[in-house]
Amino acid sequence: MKRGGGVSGAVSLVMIFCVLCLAVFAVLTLSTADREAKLARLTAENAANYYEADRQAVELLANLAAGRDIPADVDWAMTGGEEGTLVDLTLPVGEEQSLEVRARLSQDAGSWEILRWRSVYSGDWAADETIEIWDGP
Amino acid sequence: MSRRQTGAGTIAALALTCVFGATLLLSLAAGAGVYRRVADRVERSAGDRVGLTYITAKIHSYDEAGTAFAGQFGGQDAVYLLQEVDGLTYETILYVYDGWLMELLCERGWELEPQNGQTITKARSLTVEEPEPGLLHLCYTGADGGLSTADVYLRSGG
Amino acid sequence: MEERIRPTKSGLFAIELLIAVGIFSLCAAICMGLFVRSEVMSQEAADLNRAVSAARSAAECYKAAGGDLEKTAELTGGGVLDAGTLFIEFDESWQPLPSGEAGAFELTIALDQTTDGQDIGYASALLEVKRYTRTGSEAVAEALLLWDIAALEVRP
Repeated sequence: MKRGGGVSGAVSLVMIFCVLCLAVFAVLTLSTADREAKLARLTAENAANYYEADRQAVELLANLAAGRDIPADVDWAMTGGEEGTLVDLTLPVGEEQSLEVRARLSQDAGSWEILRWRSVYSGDWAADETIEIWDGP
Repeated sequence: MSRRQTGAGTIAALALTCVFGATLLLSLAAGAGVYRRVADRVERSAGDRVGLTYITAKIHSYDEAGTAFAGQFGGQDAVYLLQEVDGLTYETILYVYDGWLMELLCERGWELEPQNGQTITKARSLTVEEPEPGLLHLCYTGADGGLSTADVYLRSGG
Repeated sequence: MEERIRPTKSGLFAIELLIAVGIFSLCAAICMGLFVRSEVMSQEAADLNRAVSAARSAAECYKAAGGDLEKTAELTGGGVLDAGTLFIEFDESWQPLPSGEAGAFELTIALDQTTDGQDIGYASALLEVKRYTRTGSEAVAEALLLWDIAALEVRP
């Protein structure tokens, strides 16, 4: 019975070990894939937000040039000048970014000259002060 | 029971054990293979994406007249991004040097060397073309040799 | 008096082996299901990342072309124009395919038809990326991305 018992025990142990290994692999693989899928969805969402803001800015400039109304919730300002009308727009891109647009509508050509069209970080930023810096004796 | 029957039963049990053992090993190998494939895909995707995304995001944040353009630095293609702070013009140069995507921030006019930059991520090469005024066409080769391209249009004309 | 049948060593071993096989089969089936799900999720994530990259480049080229689809096709390095829509085909590895060849992924830029020909002052289009699953003669499309893009027709 001893020999048979030893071999039987070994089979069960090996089976348990392999099941544990498989389970660990499965969990690791699933968590890696899930994390990557979430990151991909976030990236796609950010890109979609950027191009939506970009399109809105173009639409607003076209409306301004045509003298059409601008929605009340848009952050914009207009100043007149010798070279033409200067327009500043700030549109949200998601929760932590903004699209800043500055354009000049030249009166003679009737066309927009884009001076600025940049995306900036507009979220909260807090300095990391967890490290104590020695400031003298 | 006769010895022959006992022997046959033992042989059958051992044969089944061997088959079971082989199945265990094959299952483990299959599981490890899937994990490796997924991890490789994630790493390859990240390697191709991170460097180029960094460059395009930087360019988008510097889209202002006369502040972003393609140039040469250290004999390689580079992207120049200018910024004026307190009356001084600073330039950020994005380029690939010695197997790394580098970023160098300095006052415009300083003649610095490519090794003075800060490493961002591993990369093999970066080429920048301007097929159309204001349109930068970037060809980025990651550390694993994967080629990615991206186009960035500077509405301000760069 | 009945003879007591003693269990043999190999008999007990075989029973334990069968139980182990049964338990392992159950666990392995569950794990294999997780592996398949992970593989599918990973592939979809990679496809979505490549779709976003291709869409960004195409959108930037559209903006640079000022809304001109012919110019956009030239800047993107390929594509077929058909009835106001630009088609760019990619294979499974996201390599661009020659014009006219059906691919696993398709990027389209379609001019906005909702303006009914009115001059709105800018060029508007719909950018879409689809994945095609082809079985025989049938092709099932699944939308990966859908963006509204715009270009100022009057450029600096």
